[in-house]
Amino acid sequence: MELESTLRARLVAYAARTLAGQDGAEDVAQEALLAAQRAGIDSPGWLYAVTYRRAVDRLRRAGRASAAKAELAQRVESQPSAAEVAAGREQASQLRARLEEVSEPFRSALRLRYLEGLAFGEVAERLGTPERTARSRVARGLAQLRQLMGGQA
Amino acid sequence: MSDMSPEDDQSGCAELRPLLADFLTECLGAEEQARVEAHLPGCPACSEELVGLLELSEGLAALAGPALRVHRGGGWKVALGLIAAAALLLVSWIAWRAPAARVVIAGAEVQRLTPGQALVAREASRVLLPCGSEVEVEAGATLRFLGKRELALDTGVGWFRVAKAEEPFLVRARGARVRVLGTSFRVEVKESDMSPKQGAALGAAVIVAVVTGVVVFETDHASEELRAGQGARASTAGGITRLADEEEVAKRLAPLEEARAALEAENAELKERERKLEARVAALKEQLRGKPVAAPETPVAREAAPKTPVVPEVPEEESKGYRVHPADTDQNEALAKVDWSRAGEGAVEMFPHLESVWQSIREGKSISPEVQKTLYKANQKLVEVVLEIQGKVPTHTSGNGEFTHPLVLVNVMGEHLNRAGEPFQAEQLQRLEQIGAAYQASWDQAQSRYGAATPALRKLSDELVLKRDAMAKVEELLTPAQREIVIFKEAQHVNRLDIYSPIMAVIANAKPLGVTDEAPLRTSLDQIAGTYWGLTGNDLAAAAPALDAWARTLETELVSAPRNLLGSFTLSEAVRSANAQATAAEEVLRVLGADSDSAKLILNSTAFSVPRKVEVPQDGK
Repeated sequence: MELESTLRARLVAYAARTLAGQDGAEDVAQEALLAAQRAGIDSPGWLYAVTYRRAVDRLRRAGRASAAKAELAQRVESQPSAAEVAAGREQASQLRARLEEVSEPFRSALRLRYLEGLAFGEVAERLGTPERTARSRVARGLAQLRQLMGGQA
Repeated sequence: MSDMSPEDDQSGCAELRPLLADFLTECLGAEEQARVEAHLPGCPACSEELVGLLELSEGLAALAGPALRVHRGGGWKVALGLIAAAALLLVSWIAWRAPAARVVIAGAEVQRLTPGQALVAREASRVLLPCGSEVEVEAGATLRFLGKRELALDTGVGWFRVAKAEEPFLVRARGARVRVLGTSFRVEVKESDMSPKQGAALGAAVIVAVVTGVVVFETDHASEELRAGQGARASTAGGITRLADEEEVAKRLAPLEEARAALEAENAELKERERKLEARVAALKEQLRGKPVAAPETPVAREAAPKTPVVPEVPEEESKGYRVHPADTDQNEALAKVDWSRAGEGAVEMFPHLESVWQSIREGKSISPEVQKTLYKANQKLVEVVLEIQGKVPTHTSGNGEFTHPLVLVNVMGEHLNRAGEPFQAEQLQRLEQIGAAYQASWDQAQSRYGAATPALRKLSDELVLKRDAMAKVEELLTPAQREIVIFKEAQHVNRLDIYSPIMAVIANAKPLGVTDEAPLRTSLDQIAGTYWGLTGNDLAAAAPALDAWARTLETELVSAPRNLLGSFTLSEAVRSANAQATAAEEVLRVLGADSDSAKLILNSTAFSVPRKVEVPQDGK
């Protein structure tokens, strides 16, 4: 089981690396942990993703103090996020349509987890599988969907 | 599309990227997880991919309906940042999501969108476009600004008032489009619609109702011209059917009209409040001019300020407003401007729910959306106070630092008690002012002790102690009946729960630290010293005695807590932890010297850890 303190330390390090020398790594990690607390989530993967996203947001806001940061910020800027793709260009209906193309049993797992908003334990209960299997199915579903949406996974 | 970024030559990408989804859903083995975690910091490409997966999951969750949470757009971020800073405060004690579109408190706020931005409205919001057109969206709507006169409504309901221009104005809604020159109309994107006649489900639909002017409603397969009072529905297949009659159109329009009226009423109320506040400020300034500055304030200030003839229109209710004044004139002015009645209202609304919230937290359950909403609204009223006094009251931790100034807390408490029918009595008010003055004096005294080598955490720790002592005195003077009202015994001084506790000051600084057999306290302190203070190698070795002492101080009084209560520590734990860490910081600074690499980090860091012995669940995961 992940211990918050050591996880926090790793998140701070991750944020610091992403921020490429700019201040605020501690804040970024703390914001992510707070967000996790508010959302009732304690998955390290989620925290890493949110930490990275927040660090990049901070970079964008701060502008470019060094060439390296400029490069990173620019590269990041040029890539539309999946959310922008999901909520943006591709439209929600697009996402919905692609979701239908995800193969079973992964599609059901995605539906239960995200459209019905169930916790993994509840997803497992509904699928009649161990929780770990439910988590894994959701992961496979996400990876498939990411590919269907033109991502890289 | 191929995406050969320079990072692809990073070792491990090919092998680890397929694991990212599993990493996100937390089903990797410990070894694989450690490898992913080690890989990410050096690999922006994989980091991007991980965020991509996260946002895909957010996109899916957004499909579920109005509980939308995806938002990425510059302008909103700024606004969000602003409220987040203030709301960091009390808000963080509840597991609600930060609202996306709320900036001003009462609801009729205006936001400006520029092309490329998206808005996810958690509550009714109004948007102004550069061309002068206006959109009001209901809670749950997603609106994207595509171009100068082009918008997309992805979900929910939008009310459009289009400014006339040569260029047509285009609203995209799923597969359908509404094209106009200058008019007002309503668009609704429905996930499923019922036929009014057959009562059969029609599936997803886009419904347009026109208020004034003419619009062209079109899909790839059909097109209809709609005039004022007319409406039509487009199905996902692209067919368009006119709404049967004007009555149905009117029915569609009615709720929006009501909502709009409500927003306008709210807006008027806000303006009225603003006007009253201004009048009060003017009156107080007048009063200050007429008084020698050194003269002590009237102890029972409720009689003083509002009843000057300058502002005869101040209503009766407000004239009961509390003012426990500080001796210091600048602060006096800052605090006198505050509308304590709003904060009191917030406190009154918040308290009845605390017990159920605390119970939910204890049982690891989520708090019901209704309660969250109530608490959020109540909290916003306290946030108003914070915004008003930010930077105007001395503190070493801005935000909640101002809020937890004893004079601020007692003023909120005073209003709370007022509303509950147990107001502070004259002698209590007098005593409260003395407590305020004593706090002020000890604050000044503490500041005079600090020098260039004083760590920021020492200052914060001292502040916490001073506030604790002041509020203990406040608690002493309360009558039993008053205590019943403002003290929630079970969770008094518990982090994130007790709004009258100085522990609120350190919500952003105090971080729970789980101590287990696998991660004993002493080892964790090494890590903290490494991460926050940048201590490594020889420096870390030199700091060891200070860290040992730090661990010893805390270990003796380590509190045991289940995981879900790790963050629910108390004021006394926070005070002890902050003090121990500040002492360690001072000692490490002394040993390493002021020119060491870590000195700046140690001096400036105000974060501190509150260790608790964690009860690890037995199921092994």
